[in-house]
Amino acid sequence: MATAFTRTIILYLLLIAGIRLMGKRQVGELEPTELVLAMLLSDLAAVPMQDFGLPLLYGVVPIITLLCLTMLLSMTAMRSPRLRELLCGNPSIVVKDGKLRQREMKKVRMTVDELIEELRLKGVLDISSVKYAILETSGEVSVLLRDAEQPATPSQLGLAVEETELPLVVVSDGRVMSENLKSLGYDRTWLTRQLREKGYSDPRDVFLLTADSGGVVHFTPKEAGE
Amino acid sequence: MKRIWVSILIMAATLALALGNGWYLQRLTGSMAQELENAQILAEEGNLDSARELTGQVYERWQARQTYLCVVARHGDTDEIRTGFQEVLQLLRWPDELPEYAAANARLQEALGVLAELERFSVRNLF
Repeated sequence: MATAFTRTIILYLLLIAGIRLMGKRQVGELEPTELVLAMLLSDLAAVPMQDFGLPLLYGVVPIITLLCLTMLLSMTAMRSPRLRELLCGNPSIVVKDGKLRQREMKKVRMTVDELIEELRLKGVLDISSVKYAILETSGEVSVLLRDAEQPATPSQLGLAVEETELPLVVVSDGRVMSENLKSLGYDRTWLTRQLREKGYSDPRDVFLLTADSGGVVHFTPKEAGE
Repeated sequence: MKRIWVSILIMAATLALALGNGWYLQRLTGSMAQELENAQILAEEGNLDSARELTGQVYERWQARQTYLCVVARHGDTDEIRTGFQEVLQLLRWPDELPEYAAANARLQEALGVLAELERFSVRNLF
């Protein structure tokens, strides 16, 4: 059991080191610690699940160890920029002011084809319109267009717009979410009035009702037969 | 900060329990192996009844810990030891089967030793 505990720690740290060495491109959308956890957890649970000759503890001990290690590493990384850099690396600027930074691309082992693909996925067809393209530590590419290429905002056009409030779900599949109703400053009387305006009286006939503190309501009744 | 300490505590507790389990198993199987050795000495002196009684007591101690053993050890290993006890107890009924009994007893002691060895925290087990 103590061996399983220690082997778990060794293999976990080894896998994180391996993922870090492979580079950002292979990580996908997860941080290295999260990716390793996801990879190992399912395998660890599967082994005692299928082999009845193994005690359950042979899966439980490594799983608990992994979860605690991940929590420890992520909480410590929150407090230590150096550890964070060691575990996750740094973002890399691969395009700056419309120009490809070839040395940086070579460092992160990113090909031109891969970069063009990522830019296309972000709706960018012309590299010269890119101010910055950054390969994040999660493996995703963030794109910031040049100011002249970005869509105009209402404030730039001198237009006054109303601020939108955060809508909350008040009725979900027939169930009234009382906490949300209360946090919006409304009550059951308000809800009944809203339903009556739509020609309904019972929240159980409502599939979705959202509202915001500004009084904007979105209403979807249940389909017949539901 | 609290989550860091909780994680450290859980890991420390897990390690402590695992090491404690290894130590207890070592002590349990060690004493059983010693008593089986004593039983063999009695058998070699011709005192088969005492040897059978002593082996039977060891087997009862083993049986009394079945639940604990099934939780911490591979079932295949514990089954092998249980079978070994049955074999040894049967062989002790027949004075002519003394060599076979000695061999079976040695296998049983070895199986007990291997069980404890697997749970020992050692460099060999680690790699």
